[in-house]
Amino acid sequence: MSSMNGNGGPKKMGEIIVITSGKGGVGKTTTTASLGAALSLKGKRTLVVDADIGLRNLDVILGLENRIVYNLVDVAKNICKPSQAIIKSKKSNNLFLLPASQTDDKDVVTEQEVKSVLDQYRREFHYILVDSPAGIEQGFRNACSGADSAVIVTTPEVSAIRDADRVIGLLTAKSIEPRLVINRIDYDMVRKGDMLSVKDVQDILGIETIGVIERDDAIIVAANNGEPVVYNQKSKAGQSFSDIAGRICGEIIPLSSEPPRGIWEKISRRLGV
Amino acid sequence: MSDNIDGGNVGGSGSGEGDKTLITARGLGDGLVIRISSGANSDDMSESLREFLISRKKFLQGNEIFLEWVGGKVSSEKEEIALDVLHEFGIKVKPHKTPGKGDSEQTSNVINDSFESGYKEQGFLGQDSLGREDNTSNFDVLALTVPSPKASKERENPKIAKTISIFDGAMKFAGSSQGGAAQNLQGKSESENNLKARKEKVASILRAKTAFKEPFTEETDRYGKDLYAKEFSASIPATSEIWDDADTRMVITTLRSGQRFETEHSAVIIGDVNSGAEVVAGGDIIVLGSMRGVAHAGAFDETGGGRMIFALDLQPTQLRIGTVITRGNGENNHKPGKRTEEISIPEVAYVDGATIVVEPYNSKTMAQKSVVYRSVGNLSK
Repeated sequence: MSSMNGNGGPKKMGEIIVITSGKGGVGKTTTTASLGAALSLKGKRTLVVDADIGLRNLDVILGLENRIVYNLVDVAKNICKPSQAIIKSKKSNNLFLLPASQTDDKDVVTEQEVKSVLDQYRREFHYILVDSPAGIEQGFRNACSGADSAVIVTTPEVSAIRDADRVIGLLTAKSIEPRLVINRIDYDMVRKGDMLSVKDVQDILGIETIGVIERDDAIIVAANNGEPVVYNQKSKAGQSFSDIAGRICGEIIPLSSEPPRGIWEKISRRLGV
Repeated sequence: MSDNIDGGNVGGSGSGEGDKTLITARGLGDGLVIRISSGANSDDMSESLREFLISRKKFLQGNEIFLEWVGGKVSSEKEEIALDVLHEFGIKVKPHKTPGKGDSEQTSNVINDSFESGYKEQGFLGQDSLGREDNTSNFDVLALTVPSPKASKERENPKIAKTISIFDGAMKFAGSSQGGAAQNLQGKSESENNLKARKEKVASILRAKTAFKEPFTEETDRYGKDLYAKEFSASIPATSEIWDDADTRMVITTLRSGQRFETEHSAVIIGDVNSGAEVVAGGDIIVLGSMRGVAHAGAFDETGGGRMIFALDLQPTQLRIGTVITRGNGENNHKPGKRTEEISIPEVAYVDGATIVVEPYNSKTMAQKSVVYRSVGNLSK
């Protein structure tokens, strides 16, 4: 794993993880923000990078849109120093944001430029999470440059799964190891047979699953408030994101199985039946 | 009959023309009989016989036939030669069953007894006792021969008698095969057991023939067909033909959406082919995993070349063989929750006529069919 360097020594600083999906709207930005927040809560210095040049969103989700002065493109073109472009988050001392430019588009930087930008931050942070744009073109390629591993986000829908499959193929061709997050699962629908189950998705994609996030209204509320859902103690989704952060750090947290339905199931679960 | 026996022109001046006179075949209630004119000389005879057998190899091979000589007793030398040729093609000759007391039960299927006893004196292009021309030249046996049950039992099960129409009007002959006259007077009890077995064999073959012909539709219960395949395979002898493809290309990977595997020859994939992936092969496609994408076999041959697509779990988006395209039924592709509980069976797809047929894979039938389809291209018979 990329958390160990060649001679089996301790984890080197700055593991770069790209969060991508292929399909748009499945929850990449939400996942990046929430994972960043969760990692920072665990005491890891984390930088989240918005690589969606021209359509930036990560700043809004984190509530930092009013504090942007410099962005990723400025660092790439040496207009400013790397330390000038990053913004500390409101709630945590460990979480920083490198925003994207809103006025340019994705062809303004090359893969090599992005890689060198990220390399400048590696020494300063435990984790660098790169929020990739949707698609498989230049924006995606820029985001993947320099990545050590990847997190693929998908929803349990056939269209998202097919796009995720494509992206997995592209990532393995770049020797970037992908891991899976299944977002917006609704266990009631799965039970009724209206939605693909976690097993179905795993069966098709065939990569390691590091998290399953249930559909949760709290996420929408959190996004509008500019606070990642992880800070909401009562949200199940927030809890799931924390679990994923733990797994990224190397903790062994088993994937939670389907929640029990109804009082009798709950009791029999308790009794270990 | 001696039309084609002139110097140098041995037994055939066209497709089967020479065959008509020297060698003919007829279907009987008991099986197929090949009749050789005893007047021909050894070379002509073996040549014609060879030609005759080559064109009918596909259904004769591995089967048993009766052998008869028309127009008088033949020297044992000639007999030897004929038997050698037959043996070359893997055809066994079985001794004739003499009409014993039991056969008096046969009525409408036998013209009459006097004909049988007087057969040997007939000329080759003889007439049967009702004065009808022997029209074996129009006769073409299309299927594997099946020993049919005795006539009285046929009445009990009229379905079988009706469908074996190619044997209607067949005559039994008291013949001399190499074994001579007094052969195989079967005892009653033995014949009853055989009868039951043969009946079942016929029924299963007929069922299986239907199974092969039905194209894959959403209404078809394709898992039910597995039963047919199992019964059928017991009655099918293993094929002795070999198809050897030395250029097959094998990959060990899961083909992801957007990836394409193309080869001129056959393709073997150890892994899944995910939806959105394509396999294009000039030969066959064998997927040892789930096939959910698009597979195109026989891609560089208009007819498809008799190629097949095999997968352990066949849930394709589309199947293409040559120029024939069929879509997956889509039932399993999108239905949530069903997929992981379903146990999939290995299936194979090939072209039959104008459609692609999908059925549970059975090694013996597939081996036979594959070689047959491959030798003659896209069969629509």
